[in-house]
Amino acid sequence: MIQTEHLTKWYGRKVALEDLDLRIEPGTIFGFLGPNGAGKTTTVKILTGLLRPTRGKALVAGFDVIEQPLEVKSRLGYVPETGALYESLSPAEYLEMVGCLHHLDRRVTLARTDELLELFGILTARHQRMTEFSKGMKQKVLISAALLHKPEVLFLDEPLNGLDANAAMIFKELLKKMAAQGKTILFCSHVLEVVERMCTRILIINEGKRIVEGTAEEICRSTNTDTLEQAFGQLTGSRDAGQVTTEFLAALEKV
Amino acid sequence: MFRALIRSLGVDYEQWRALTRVALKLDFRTASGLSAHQRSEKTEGAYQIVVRYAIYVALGAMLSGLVWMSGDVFFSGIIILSYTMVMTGMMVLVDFAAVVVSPDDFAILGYQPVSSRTFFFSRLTNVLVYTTLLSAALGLIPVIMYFFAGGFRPLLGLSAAVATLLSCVCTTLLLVVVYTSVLKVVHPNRLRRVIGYLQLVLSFFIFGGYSLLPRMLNIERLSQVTITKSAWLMAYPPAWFASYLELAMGRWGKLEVVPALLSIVALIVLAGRARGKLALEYSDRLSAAAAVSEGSKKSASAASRSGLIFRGGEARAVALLVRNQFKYDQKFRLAVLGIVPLTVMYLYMGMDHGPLADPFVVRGGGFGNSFLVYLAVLMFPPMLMMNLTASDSYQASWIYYSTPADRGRLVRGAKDFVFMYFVLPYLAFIGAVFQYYFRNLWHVVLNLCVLGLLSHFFLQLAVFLNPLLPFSQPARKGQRTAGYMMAILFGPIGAILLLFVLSRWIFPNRILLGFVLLGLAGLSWLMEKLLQVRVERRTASLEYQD
Repeated sequence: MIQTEHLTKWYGRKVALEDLDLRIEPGTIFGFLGPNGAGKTTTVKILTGLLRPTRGKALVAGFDVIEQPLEVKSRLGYVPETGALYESLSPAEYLEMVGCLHHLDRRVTLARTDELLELFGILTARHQRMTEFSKGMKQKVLISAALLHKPEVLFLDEPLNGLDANAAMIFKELLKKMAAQGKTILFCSHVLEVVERMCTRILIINEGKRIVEGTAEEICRSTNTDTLEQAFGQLTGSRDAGQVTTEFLAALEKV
Repeated sequence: MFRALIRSLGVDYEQWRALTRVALKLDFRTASGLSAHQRSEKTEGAYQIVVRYAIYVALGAMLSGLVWMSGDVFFSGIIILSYTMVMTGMMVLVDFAAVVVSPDDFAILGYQPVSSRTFFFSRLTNVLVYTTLLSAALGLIPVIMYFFAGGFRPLLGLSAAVATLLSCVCTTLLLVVVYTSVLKVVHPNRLRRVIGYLQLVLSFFIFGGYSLLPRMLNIERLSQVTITKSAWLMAYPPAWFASYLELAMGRWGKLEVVPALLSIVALIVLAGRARGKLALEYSDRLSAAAAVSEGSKKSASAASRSGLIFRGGEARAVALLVRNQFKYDQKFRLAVLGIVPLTVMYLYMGMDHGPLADPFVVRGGGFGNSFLVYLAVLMFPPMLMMNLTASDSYQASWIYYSTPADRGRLVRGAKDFVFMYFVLPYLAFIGAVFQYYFRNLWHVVLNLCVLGLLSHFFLQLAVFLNPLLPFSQPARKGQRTAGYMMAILFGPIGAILLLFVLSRWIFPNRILLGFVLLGLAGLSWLMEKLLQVRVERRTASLEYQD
């Protein structure tokens, strides 16, 4: 479960997140949406212990993020948007390190490493250094690292970045099954079609504030739109795409 | 037992072992670079590491002559330990963000269940392994000499080994404490600027202390290869560790015991201060500093200024890139600033023993330390060029390959930038210094012409030998230190030879001087043409490596 109360983060004088109240029950794939700079990544960073909130409280898997960070971190899996990993290591070495950090038995780590890498079709590359990997292959390693210790809560920030269609399909199916097992999954993405299909509940934030929460159907109904994409555009105040692009192309011709 | 000891310190043993093992793997692998597409990465990495340590062993071997010749173990100990501490300090200073704390660590480990204390111990272990490997290489031959010079003296050899190791640990801890204290106090907004200034101050301190050593030792006594202990000398940290050798020789007076105790106290205090300093949060602050802008108040005017010399094309692109990398890439800025104190110290040492000698007048001898001024002009531009090719943002170099930019011009643009923005202002400064001492404008102008042409030739040579696109290579741990060391070791020989040839044969003969100037100008022109061909050929075959 994930729960926040009045979660607030200021960067100097700039508000990144303001009074965010969240409650995500186990077994939920929770879509967390917002335009660039809305506060999604800030929220995820606070919940994963990477940032301290300016104000408010956050619980992950029943533990306080500020007071019990190690308890929280041992129960969460995170796929960061940045895709940061030690590229000079091989996937086997990287996953072994992650296994050690989570105090997994070495045999368990090795067995799960093989299973995860096999699932994503990169088992044959397990001893290759990741400096030579494509973005998609690195993303598969990151996802494997997030799942290695069977976390109760998963934070996924643009997890489909770079994944090929087959891997994306497998991953989405995996998430559904994990949710069915009672895992809590927070899913950030700009690919609204995927969010619409995958997520049981969706929250849209903008400029650090909650805009709307509900199922995709509820959000569409409340905005009188047909798709989540249209609802998102309406709620976050985006301009008409057709008009904007016409103006842009005309301006480009003038210069 | 070791596991229990680690755990008693509040450190998670399994995590510490995993993190340390990974950090060491990363060190040795990133030291090799990422050029696997073109050559065998493992072979290249091993070769570079072997060469680097061979250089350190060679320097140690040179120093070990002192042990053999001098009957005063305290004197030879001070010299050898000074070198060890300077080299350790230089390595930590120049490669701080790679050696001590990397902003990448937080992005990768921040959400893992690792406590700050465990992270600190793994980083400290890694840093100490890195620096003690250097001190081991540097101290290897001298320690062997202490064992065997003047008969087999195992206690003396052992104390030399301990002194070398602990002096290296002490230097590392000192720099870690100073830097991390600054990281704690300063807001990320100002961190890069403050670390830059701190780098300057510490570099002056380290190089300054190193250059002041001969004065403290007194030149007359140096010739007798003995040393008299004094309160001033006891303020010099290498003397604390050198006193271990005296204790091993059975001298247990106040002037031997107190400095040895001082070294132990320093180590305990520094270890206590460092404890908890290298937390993961510092890596977070470093990454925040890398992400936070220092404001754009001057950006508009600065942008227009940068166009004064390079008005367009690849040269302007490089000029803009270098200027902004200097402003925002902390590693690049620190590496460049690291050269400044060395340059200033060379200038100071060059002018320290009386007025600068006019090479038109001295004719082949008696120019004292003046060669150091020439060395600064000749060696530091190629060192700057070396810094200009490496960056943490090297993956952004795809832009060179996906635009119709002439990559040869980009490489030559970087060289021209260094010449215009670093060498020319430096020559102007040197010209003012020369004029102050020589009182002969004609001599100054001719000197500067020769130096300018030579400096440009050295820059061309550096690019010719290693034509790389700006900021297109990953920054490698220890690479800059090794480069600086080569310059410090072998540069003076070249500078002395140059000054000797100039003052003995060229400057006294106006016709010969004219030919030399024309020859150098011609050589520069020819080199530019050769450079163009080579750089174009090499850059045409370069491939983007992400």
